[in-house]
Amino acid sequence: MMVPAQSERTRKERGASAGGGGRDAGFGWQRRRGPVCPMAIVPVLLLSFAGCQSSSEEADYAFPSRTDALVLRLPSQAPDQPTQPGRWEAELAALAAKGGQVLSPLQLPADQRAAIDAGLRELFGTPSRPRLVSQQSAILERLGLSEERLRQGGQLYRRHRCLQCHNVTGDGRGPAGQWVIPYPRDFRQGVFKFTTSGSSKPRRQDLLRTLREGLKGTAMPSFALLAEADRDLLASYVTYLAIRGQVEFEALVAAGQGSVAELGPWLAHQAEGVLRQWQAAEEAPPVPSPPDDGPPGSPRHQEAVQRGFALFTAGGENSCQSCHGDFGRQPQLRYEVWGTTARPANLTERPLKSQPQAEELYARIRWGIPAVGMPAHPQYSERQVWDLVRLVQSLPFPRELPPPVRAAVYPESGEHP
Amino acid sequence: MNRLAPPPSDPGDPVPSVPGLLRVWAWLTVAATCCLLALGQLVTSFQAGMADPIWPTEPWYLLLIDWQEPSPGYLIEHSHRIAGFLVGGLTAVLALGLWWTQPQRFLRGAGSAALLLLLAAYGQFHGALMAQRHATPEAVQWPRSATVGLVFAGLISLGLGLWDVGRRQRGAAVRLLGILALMAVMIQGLLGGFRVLWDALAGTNLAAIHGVFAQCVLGLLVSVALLAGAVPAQRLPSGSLAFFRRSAVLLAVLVFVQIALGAWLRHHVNPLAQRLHVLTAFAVLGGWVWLGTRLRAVREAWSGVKYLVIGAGLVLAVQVYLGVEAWLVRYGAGVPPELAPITLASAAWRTGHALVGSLLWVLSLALALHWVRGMTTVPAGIGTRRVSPEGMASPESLESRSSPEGASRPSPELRRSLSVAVPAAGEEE
Repeated sequence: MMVPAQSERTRKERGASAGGGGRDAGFGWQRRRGPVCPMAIVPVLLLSFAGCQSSSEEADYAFPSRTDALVLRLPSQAPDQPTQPGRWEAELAALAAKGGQVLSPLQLPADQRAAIDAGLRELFGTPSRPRLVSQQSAILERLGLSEERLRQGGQLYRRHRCLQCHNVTGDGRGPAGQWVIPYPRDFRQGVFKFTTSGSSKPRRQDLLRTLREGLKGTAMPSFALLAEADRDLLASYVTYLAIRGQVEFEALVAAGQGSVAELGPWLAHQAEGVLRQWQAAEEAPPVPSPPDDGPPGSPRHQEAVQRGFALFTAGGENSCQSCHGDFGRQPQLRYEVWGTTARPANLTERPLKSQPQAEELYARIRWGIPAVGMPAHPQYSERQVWDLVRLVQSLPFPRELPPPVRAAVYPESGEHP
Repeated sequence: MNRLAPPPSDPGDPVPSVPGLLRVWAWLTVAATCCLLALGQLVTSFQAGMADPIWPTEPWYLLLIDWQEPSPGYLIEHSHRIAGFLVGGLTAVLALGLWWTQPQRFLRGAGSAALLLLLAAYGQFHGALMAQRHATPEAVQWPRSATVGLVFAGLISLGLGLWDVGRRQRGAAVRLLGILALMAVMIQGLLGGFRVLWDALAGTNLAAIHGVFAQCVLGLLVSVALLAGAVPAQRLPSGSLAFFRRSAVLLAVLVFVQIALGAWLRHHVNPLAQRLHVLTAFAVLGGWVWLGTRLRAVREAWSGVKYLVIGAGLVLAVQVYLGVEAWLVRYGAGVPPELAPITLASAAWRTGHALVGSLLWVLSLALALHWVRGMTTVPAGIGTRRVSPEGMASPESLESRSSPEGASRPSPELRRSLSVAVPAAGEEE
C-alpha cells in the first residue's frame, strides 16, 4: 500500500530532521537546534530597553517663540468666504490688503524677541515646569494656578493630546489643528467665545463645561469620562496658557510700538493686570435664572417664542437677522479676533456648538460674543432676552413653534400665517 | 526519467471548495478592505480620528451635513467610516455566501440563521448607540440586551463553524474563516467607534489597538480569498515541506509583529516601540532574504512561489526607502515627535509606509498559506454538495481522490487540471 510506505518515509525524514545536525536530502541547508536563538534575543531586548525611560510627558523644552502674525485690527468689511483649511497663515497675511492691520513678530529685532522670551520664561517657566510668578497669591489660589497644579495640568494636557490641536503654547496650531474647521481655539489673547461672565474671559465653570461637554459641530470632544479633578487641572492649565499668551501678545505689540523701557517689571505688571481680569470674570454676577415659561409647546412658552420672533425679525442695525439671515441658513460671515472667519450659527439646526442651555444662551444674547463681533444687547429688558432664548431653543423643533412662527421659519411645511 | 521523483507530499486540491462568484466576491472584499485601510492610515497620518467626536453616524451622514465649511479631517474620518460600512456589508454577504455552500442542509440552515442573528444583534447594538450619539459619553447607556444577543449569536456561529471543521466537511475551514472575518470586522467597527467615544479614557490606546486589529481583519479576509481557491499539490519531501511551512509561518508572524509595532508607533511616542520596530524591520528583511534564497535553491518549491518572492523583494526595497522617509518626517523635524507638523508630503510618506507594510504582511501571509493551505483541504469527493457552473468536477469524477490510490493516481480530468504534470497509471518508473 502506498500510504503506509509514505508514512514510513515521512517518519524517517522527520526523525532525521529532528535529530539535529542532520542534512535534509538535497537542499543543502543545515538544521540547527539549541538555545542560540533565544539567547540572541536577550542582548537585543536589553539594547531595546536602554533609553526607554524617557517620556514625552516629562520632556523639558521651552515654549517656542511666537512667529505667527498678531492681528491688531480687523478689516471693516465682512469676509467673502469661510476660512480655508491649511491656509490660516496665508489668510492672516492677506488681512492687511483688506484693510486690517497685522504685526509679524519676525519684524521685531531679534534681541527684543529674545528678551521677551527670556522674560516670559522667568515669569511663566516651561511646559514641563510651568509657574506663574505673582504677588497676587489669593488670585492664584482662586484660579488654581499653583505650581504643583500647573505641573499636573501640563502633564494631563500632553497625555490627553490637547496639544495635538491646541499646541504647546495654546496657539491652536497643533499638528492636527490646520486640518479641522473650525480651527482649534487660540488661547493666547485670553479671548474665549463661550463665556457667561459678561466679558471675553470665561469663568472657571465655563471652561469646565466646555471640557465636560465638548463643542458640538467641532472637533472638540467631551472629556466627561475624565475625573472631575483632572478636568479642573486642565482648566487651570488652559487659564495659565491664556494668561501667558496674552502677556506675550501685549509685550510684542508694545515692543512693536517701542513703548517698553524695562521689560522684566513691565511683563510682571502686565501679568498682574491679566490676572485681575480673570478674577473679575470669576466674580462677575451670575446669569439670572430663567423664568418659568412652562414646557415647550405650552401656551406661555409659545407666547414667549412669539415675542422672541418679533424681536428677532425686527429690522435695524445689529438686528439678529443681519447676521443670522433666514434664521442662520444664509449667514453673514464675520471676522474673529484671531483673523479667521466665523459663520453665525444656523439656528434651525441642532445642536448648537455650546449646548443650548438657557443660561448660556442668555449670556450670549445679553453680552454678545465679542471675539466674533456678535454685538451685546443691553437695550433689551430681561424678559425680552428670555423671549429670544425661548425662540432660539425652539427654532430647531417645528412642533414647538406657534403656527405663524412655524410658517415663517419653515415655509416648506405648507402652513401660512 | 520522471522529474517528479518525490511523490506528492501534499496532494493539494485542484478543485476550489467555493464557487467562482464567491471567490470573486472574496477578492472584492479584500480590495474594499485595502481602501478602508488606506483611509484609516490617512486618518492616523492627519491625526483626524477625533475630527468628529460624534459616533455612531449613519453611512450617508456626509450627505446630511452643511458643507459650508470645508474640513479635510472631517471628510477623511467620515470617508473611513463609510468604507467601514462597505466592508462590513461585503463581509456579511461573503460569510453568508460561504455558509450557503455547506453541503448539509441542516448545517447550512443553522449556520446561515446564526449569522443572520449575529447581524441582527449587531444592528440592534449599533442602533442603540446611535440613538444616544448626542449624549455626553458618561451618560451613554450600554445596550445590554443587544450585547447578550451579540455574544450568544457569536458563540453559536463559532460553535457551528468548529463543528463543521470537526466533521471534515469540504470548505469547512473557509466557512469558519468567513465567520471569524465577519466577527473581526464587527469588532473592528466597534473598536473604531469606542476609540472616539472613550477618547478621554483611553486616549490613542484604542486607536492603536484598532490599527493593529485592522491587520488581523485584512489577514482573515485575504486568507478566505486564498483558501477559497484551488490548492496546488506540493511535490517536496515531507521534511522539506514541513521546513518551508514552519519558516513561512514564522516569517508571517514576525512581519505581523513588526507591523503591529509600527501601528503602535503611529499612535504613541513610545521609546520601546521605536526601537523594536526598527530592530524587527532588520529581522523581517533578513528573514525574507534567507527564506527566499532557500526557496530559490529548490526548483520544486521555487516554481510555485517565484513571483510572490520576487514581488516581496521589490516591496521590501520600497518599504525600506519609505521607512527612512517616514522616520525623518516624524523624528527629524527638530521638534518633539508629537508636535511634528503634518503636511501633505509627510502624511503621504507615513501613509505610504504603513500601506506598503500591510502589503508585505499580505505577501508573507500568502507565502505561509501557500505551504499551509494543503492541510486545510478535504478531498473533493467528501461532502461535495453540487457541481458549480464554473467547472467544478463532479463527485463521480473525483471519487478516486477519496481513496489512497486516487491520491497518487488521479483521474485524467484531474491530471489535466493540475498545474504540474502528473504521470498516469503505469507511467511511473
